[in-house]
Amino acid sequence: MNGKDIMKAMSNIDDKYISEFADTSNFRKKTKFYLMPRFYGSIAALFVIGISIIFIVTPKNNSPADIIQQENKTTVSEISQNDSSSATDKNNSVKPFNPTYQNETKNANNIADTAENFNNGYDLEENIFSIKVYAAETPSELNLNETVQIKGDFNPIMSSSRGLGIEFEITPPSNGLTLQADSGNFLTWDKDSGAVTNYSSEYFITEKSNIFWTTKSPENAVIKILSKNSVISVINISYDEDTNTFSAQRT
Amino acid sequence: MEDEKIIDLFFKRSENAITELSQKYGQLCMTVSVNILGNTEDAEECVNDSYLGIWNAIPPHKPDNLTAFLCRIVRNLSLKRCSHNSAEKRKSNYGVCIDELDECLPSENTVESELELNELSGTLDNFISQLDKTNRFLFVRRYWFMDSYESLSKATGIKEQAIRTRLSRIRSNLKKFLAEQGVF
Repeated sequence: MNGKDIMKAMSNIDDKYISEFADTSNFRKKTKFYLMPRFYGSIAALFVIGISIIFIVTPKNNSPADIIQQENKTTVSEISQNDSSSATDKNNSVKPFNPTYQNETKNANNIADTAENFNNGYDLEENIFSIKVYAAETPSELNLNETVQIKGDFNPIMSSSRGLGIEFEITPPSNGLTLQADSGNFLTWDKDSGAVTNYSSEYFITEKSNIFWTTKSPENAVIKILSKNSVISVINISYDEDTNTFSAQRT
Repeated sequence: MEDEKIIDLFFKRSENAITELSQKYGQLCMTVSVNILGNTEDAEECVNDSYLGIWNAIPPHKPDNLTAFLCRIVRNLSLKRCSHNSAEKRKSNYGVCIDELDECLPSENTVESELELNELSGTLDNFISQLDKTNRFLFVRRYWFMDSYESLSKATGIKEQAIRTRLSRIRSNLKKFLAEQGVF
C-alpha cells in the first residue's frame, strides 16, 4: 500500500466531509478581537482621547494649586498696598477681605448709573462697597455703628505708609463725594505700579475709587464723608494711650 | 437555486439544469480540477465533461448531496486526466510497450482490491471523524480538494508553516491509526 492507494481511498470518503468544506469562505478561523493588535490600538486611542477630553474640559485655573496661587497673588496685592518692606511678614498672608468684590462692584456701578438725581438724599450704605480698617494683620470691614479695634503699633502689614490705614471703596453719586479728615491725610495706591500718591486731608471722589487714609501720629481723628457739603457719614478714630490701640467707629 | 430544484431540472431534462449547476458550482468545480491538473484548459475540459457526466447520471441517480456528487465526478475525471497527461509525458518506447501489454493482463481493479479500497475509505472516514474541525478542514482540503498550502493559509488565516506542521502531525497520526486498524 502506498500514497496512491490512500489517495484512491480518499476519493470514497463520506460525502458530508466534501460538502462540509466545499465552501472555504465560511471556515476562516476568526481571531478573537482581544488578541488582535488593533484591539490594543483601539484601547490606546480611547485612552488618549479620554485624557485629551479631560484636559480640554477641566478649566486650567481650577486646580487647588492654582487657587492657592491666586489667593497668594491677591494677598500679596493687599500686602503690597500696606507694606513693601517685609517679605517675611507677607507670607503670613492677609486673606482677601471681600471675596465677592466683582459682583458688588457691578452692583455699585448700576447704582451709580441711576444715581444722577442724588444729592443730599444719597444713600451711602448702598453705594459704599466697603470701608476697611487695617487692624493688625487682618483687615476688618468698618460697618455702620460698629467699632473696630486697631492696634496702635505700626505694623508693616497695616499700611505702606507709616501709620494707620483705612481703605474706602466708594462709588460716589454723580455730583461726587468729599472725604474730609481733621488730621492725617489721604493717599492712593496704584496696584499695578505700586506707586503711592499722598494727598491732603481732603479728597474729592467723582468715580468709583479706592482711597486710603493714614495718620502718622497717635491721635484722635474724625473723617467726614460729605455729599454737597452735607455730612452723610462720619468715622471717628479714637486713640487709647493706655492700651496703645485705636478704635474706629462709623456713624 | 437550491440543489433540489436543480436536480428537478435534470429530471425534467431541462438544459437550464446545466446552466444553473454551472452558475452555482462552476467555480468550485474549476478549483477542484485546477488543483489536480494545474492547467486551466484541461480543467475546463474536465468540468465540462463532468457536466455531461452528471447529465447522463441524473436520472436515474438522485443524489442526496449534489455538491459532493458533482465534486466527486470532477475529481475522478481530473485524476483520470492527470494520469493520462503523465503517461503522455513519458511516451518512451518502453512506456508505450507497457501500455500495450497492459491490455493483455486482467485489470488491477479486482474485487479483492475494490474491497480493500472500500475498507480503507471507511478507515479514513473514522480517522477524519476523530479530527477537530480545523484539522479536518486542512486534511480534507489538502488531500481531497488538493488545495495548496498557500490557499489553505488564506482560507484559514493560519500561517503556511503552521499548516505544514499540522498536516505533518496529522499524517503521523494517520500512520499510527492505520497500523492500529491493521491496514498494513
